[in-house]
Amino acid sequence: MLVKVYASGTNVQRLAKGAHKVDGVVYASYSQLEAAGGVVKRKFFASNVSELKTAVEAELDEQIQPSWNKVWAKPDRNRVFIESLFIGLVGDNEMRPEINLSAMTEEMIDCFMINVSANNKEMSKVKEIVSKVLPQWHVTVLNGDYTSNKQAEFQVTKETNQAKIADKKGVIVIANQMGSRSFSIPAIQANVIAFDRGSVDATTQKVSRCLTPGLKYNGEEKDYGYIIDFSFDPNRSENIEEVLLQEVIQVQKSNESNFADAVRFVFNNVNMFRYAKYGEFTQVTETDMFAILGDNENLLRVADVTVDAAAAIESGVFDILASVTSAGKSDKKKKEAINAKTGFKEGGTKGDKTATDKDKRSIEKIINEAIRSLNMSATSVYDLANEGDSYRECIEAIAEYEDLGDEFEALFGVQAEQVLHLLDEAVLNEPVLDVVVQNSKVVDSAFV
Amino acid sequence: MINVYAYTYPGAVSELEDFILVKLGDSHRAVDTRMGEQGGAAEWQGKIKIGAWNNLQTVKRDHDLHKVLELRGLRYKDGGAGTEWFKVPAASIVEAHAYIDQLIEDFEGEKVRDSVVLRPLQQKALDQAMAVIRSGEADTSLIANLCPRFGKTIWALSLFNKISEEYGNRVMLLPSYWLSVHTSFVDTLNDWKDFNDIALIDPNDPDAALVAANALDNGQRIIIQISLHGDLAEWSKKHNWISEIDNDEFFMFADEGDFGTHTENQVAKVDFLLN
Repeated sequence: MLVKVYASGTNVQRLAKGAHKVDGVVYASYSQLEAAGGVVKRKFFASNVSELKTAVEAELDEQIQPSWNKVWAKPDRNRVFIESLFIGLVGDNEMRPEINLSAMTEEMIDCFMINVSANNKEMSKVKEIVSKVLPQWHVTVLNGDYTSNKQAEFQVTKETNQAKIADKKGVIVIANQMGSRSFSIPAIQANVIAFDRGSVDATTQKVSRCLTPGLKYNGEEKDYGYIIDFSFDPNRSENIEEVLLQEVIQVQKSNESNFADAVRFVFNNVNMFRYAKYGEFTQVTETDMFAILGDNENLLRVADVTVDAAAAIESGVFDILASVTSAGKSDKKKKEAINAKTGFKEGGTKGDKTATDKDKRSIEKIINEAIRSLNMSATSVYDLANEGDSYRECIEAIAEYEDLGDEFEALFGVQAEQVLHLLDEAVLNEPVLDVVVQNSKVVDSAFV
Repeated sequence: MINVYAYTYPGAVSELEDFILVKLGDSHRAVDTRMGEQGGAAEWQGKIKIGAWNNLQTVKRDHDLHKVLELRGLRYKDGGAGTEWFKVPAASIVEAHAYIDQLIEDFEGEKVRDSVVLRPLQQKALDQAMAVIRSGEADTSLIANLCPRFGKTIWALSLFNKISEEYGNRVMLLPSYWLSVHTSFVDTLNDWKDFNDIALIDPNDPDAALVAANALDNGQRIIIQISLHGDLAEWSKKHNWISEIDNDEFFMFADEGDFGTHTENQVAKVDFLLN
């Protein structure tokens, strides 16, 4: 009996792609583990760095770009912001309660991982800045310049022990990709999200690092893992919302329940807090979450994940995305960008034209706009197909009938079959689009 | 029956060159409870648990072990240390564990390990997986979307046990890009009694095919940990011996499968092995 199991905590679509055929899917979510007990429980915090940004701008009389990518890309230029951020995180600035990890969690946080979107060189620079401004803390970096995937866990354990002997106040782990999977350090109490929107699968893996059970840096047993999302926009916390939404979908499938019950299940087991003001965090209730997840506009914001442009080109879907109709685009610019895609990938074959930064931005813009446009299609595919419980089922129904297919192509510039290919390639956020379709059906039925 | 535990502190790891200072004690209660009650001046550093060996049959008290260590000249006598501290020849915690593990095995005549008790959610997922396998064809593919910290490694090995029990599969293929996944399997195999009959095969060993065949002939099951990196032709030549194993023997578990078994090249390699 040949049995093949493709396993991961995230990205079911990609698992299915490797499997050829799927006879069954087994789901288990972290909130189900929490419900059963005996694991580290999660607390989510949606906070922001906009007040910090404003304060630093006033001090320096210059603008800080409201983007983590831009902050990490120029550590020297953003030195004061980075210094202030870390001073605030460890609680050494009483004026910044919204970023004070110990204050918001009401627990002394002396070992945390900050997940950044910096490259190796930038991370080294950040380490240098933070080490100078927080000499009582041990700062370590996870990337190929310092360690390897195989050694990372051992390395951080060793450095944590050394930090204790050296009587350091705590340990700060700066990480991007390395340490995001199969990396278990019990001392890590919190994951700080300091990157802009990313893939929910990668985010889920990264923020799970604080959930390793065991002893904290101070030797006490760990009960909670804290996941803190710092946005530049105080009204947004898509990273956390998307992690929770994916989990709701996972629970729904595991328990074979409906969406509302799955939301209730997750929120019975998870605590989420949002920064209000004056240093206060308020708890996000089940009702609040229903408001977020029941609103297609919010969901589409969550679904508009920025796709890895190089991967999109490599998987051959760029040409499909470039055909997607989206208003306000100049055809000339689009054509130039399409021509530049052959040079997009670094290390392309000899003779390839190298894409300029401008080309790259154009390509990324085309991809993101196309995905946004297709995500929007989720609000109307049920009306068009008049059948189907999921986005895929609706698209399949549309593909089946020529007149529906023509109408879809006229609306979105691509054929329904091509959208199915995009779903197979996991370019679109299928689970979220399924919920959008479900919400659309609810709205429709209300007017029947 | 007695339970034995061993722990140390960060400072005790680096105190002596070539040795790690280890506290070796016993308890009739759960060792974690007993360890939690202990601690002296070094407690601020936080204990590092080296290991626990439960329900010993031959070792009556920790003194039995202490005597042997004393005879080996390993008792640590220094100012503040109590009487249960020993300098174990080891360069790492892993080596210290192996040293004590061997000492206890010498007494007990076998490695002392606990039996696996799956958590309810793990058991539920295992039952669901078996239901799919039982209702499937001779070639069944399953997706296991199991959250981080679910305990996938122990779940996968328990599933291997169940599949072996019902269908006689003897070979677990573990393809992965992620090296620490392999480490996790090595650790788990070593930690539980339920997997005592499984031999780990390293395909980089020039004699891997022979070692695997011998293990199977000796009634053992095997796990082949394999990387899917590299040129397909060269890789296929190297791993041809695996492809010659009967397909019905295989249980393939692609951990972190969204990372390492989805590209065309990786899929082609898996297809080559499970032709």
